Amino acid sequence: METIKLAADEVKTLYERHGSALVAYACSCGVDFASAEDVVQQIFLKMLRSWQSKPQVPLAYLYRATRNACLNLRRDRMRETNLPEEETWFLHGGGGQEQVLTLQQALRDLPEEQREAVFLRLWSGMTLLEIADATETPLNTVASRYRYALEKLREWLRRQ
Amino acid sequence: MDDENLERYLAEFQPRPVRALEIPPSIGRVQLWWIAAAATISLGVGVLWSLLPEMRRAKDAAGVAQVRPAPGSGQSSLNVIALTRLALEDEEQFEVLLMERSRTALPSFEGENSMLRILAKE
Repeated sequence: METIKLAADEVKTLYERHGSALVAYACSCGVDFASAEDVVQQIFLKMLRSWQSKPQVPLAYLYRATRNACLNLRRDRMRETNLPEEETWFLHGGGGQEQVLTLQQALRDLPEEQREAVFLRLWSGMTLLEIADATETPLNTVASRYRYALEKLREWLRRQ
Repeated sequence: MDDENLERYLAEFQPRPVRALEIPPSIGRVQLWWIAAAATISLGVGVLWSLLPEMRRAKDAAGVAQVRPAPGSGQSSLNVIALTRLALEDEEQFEVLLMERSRTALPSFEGENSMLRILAKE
């Protein structure tokens, strides 16, 4: 009973800290906000059910699982309507929705690995070394992905 | 804009808040159900494990009893393991049994080339 409570508490804490970033990440993988919320909730519940074999680095697992679930969802819904273009999954302190939409589009256009590195670094607060460990990728590769992503984002934002 | 400023600028954007995690009560129940099932199975295995030597002793005793000659009857099935055990545990009784068997169980004359048949003819 105590184990179940601990697991639930830990999963809830993880969700509170990273849930919104994961939902935004899911949106950047081409899923609408409501579906992204469902996908992320399901992943957290699945992790809670199989708590005994929880991953060593839950955050890296959560990002990978989210990406895979979104790819599956998109494949299943290929013939359905397109995404609502004006839907925002980021908020900006200045309140400019145009800036938000620009950033979202820029993130969507990034290659998958670069987008993952940006989300893990900027919105989940991991260092490049932690990302390298978590994704089992050489540090240089992670650093390159992140640097290329920043280049592209900078270019994108400059053009707007 | 250098990398540091760009990071600072991007950090001004925050992911939209999401609804709270809804943990269905069934998850806890399922876990408890599994724990209860595991405990029951463990208990069953434990009981069986503790009874196993007792059951083995009873079975062996039955095997020995089976080969012990019943008073007045020379019949018993000759189980090699049980006979060996009887020989080890109760040598005297074993001798009695062999003696009994030698009186009642004679070699068969039915085989065409049996030595006894040849001797009988002679």
